[in-house]
Amino acid sequence: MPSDEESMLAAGQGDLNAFEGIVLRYQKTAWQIAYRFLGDAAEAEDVAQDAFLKLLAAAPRYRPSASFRTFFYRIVSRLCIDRTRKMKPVYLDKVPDMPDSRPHASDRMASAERTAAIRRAMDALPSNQRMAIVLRHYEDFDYRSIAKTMGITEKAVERLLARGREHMRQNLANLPENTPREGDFPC
Amino acid sequence: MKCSDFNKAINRSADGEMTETAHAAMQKHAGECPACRRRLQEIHRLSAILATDRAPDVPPGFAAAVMKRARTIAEPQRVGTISFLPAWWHAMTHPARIAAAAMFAVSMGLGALMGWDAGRTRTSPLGAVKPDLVAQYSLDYFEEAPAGSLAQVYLALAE
Repeated sequence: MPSDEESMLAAGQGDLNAFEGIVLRYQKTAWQIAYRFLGDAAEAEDVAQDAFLKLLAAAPRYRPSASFRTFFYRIVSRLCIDRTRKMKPVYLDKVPDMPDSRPHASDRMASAERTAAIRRAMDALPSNQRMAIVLRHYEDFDYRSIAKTMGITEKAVERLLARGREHMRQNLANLPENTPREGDFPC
Repeated sequence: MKCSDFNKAINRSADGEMTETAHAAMQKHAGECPACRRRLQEIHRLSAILATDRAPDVPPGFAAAVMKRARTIAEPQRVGTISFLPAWWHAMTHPARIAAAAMFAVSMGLGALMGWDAGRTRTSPLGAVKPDLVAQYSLDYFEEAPAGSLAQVYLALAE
């Protein structure tokens, strides 16, 4: 299988099969970053599709000096941040009004409330902090990768994470936890 | 280690962005200081909360939708490449293309300006001294000639 960089160079020469390989390999990550960041499936799909089309448009100019992953995630990240400037926040407050009599209904309701609370906490973050949290906590990027993706320094990443986490901590303070107990951590 | 030093490095420590020695020093301090330990636990608590938050799967047909749009965009470009633009144009970088297009536009503009100016100086004197051919060649003599005659044709041309 060709590497991402080779596929990208081939796509730059008009090879749409090579481009399709990239789409298949990266669709999940692109979609998840966009969904985690935007909190809306339709918006996320739109942004993720646009990211791939921007990638295709940039393919003729692509030089494999930079990591393909960084190159692509930077496109996704910028499109997500741009999109937040154009959209209103969407909250997932779709907890059923009527009691659900099916088995584990209360579990599902608690889970929906939890998801909605996390979403609200994410939406309350400034876009840069939110993107840093998404890349670190959901995509498991290290500081270096986050810095390259967002076009900032590692120190700035650390600051964004610190502020973002502090906001999240305050907003999720009352969230019923499945959280680890004190003894679960090595300190 | 002081609490202030611990707090400065707490995020790097929680994210595993430290050397083992530095991380060990952080752990030692957390073991001794309940307030700092609680702060570190808050970060781990947040990680645990976010870890339970699952994203839906990629929508069905996502890749197909991307490829459909990609083909729609790529096809006209390919036709344009073959039909209208030479290969050297595609080999140029984007700034070079902009520079070339700007030079072409400026050249065309200058050419048009010069042509218009030259045309104006050539036509206006002629218009001003247009001769009265009927008087010059006494063609009014033919004015009473029958309609459709050759004399009438001379008159029409002279006027």
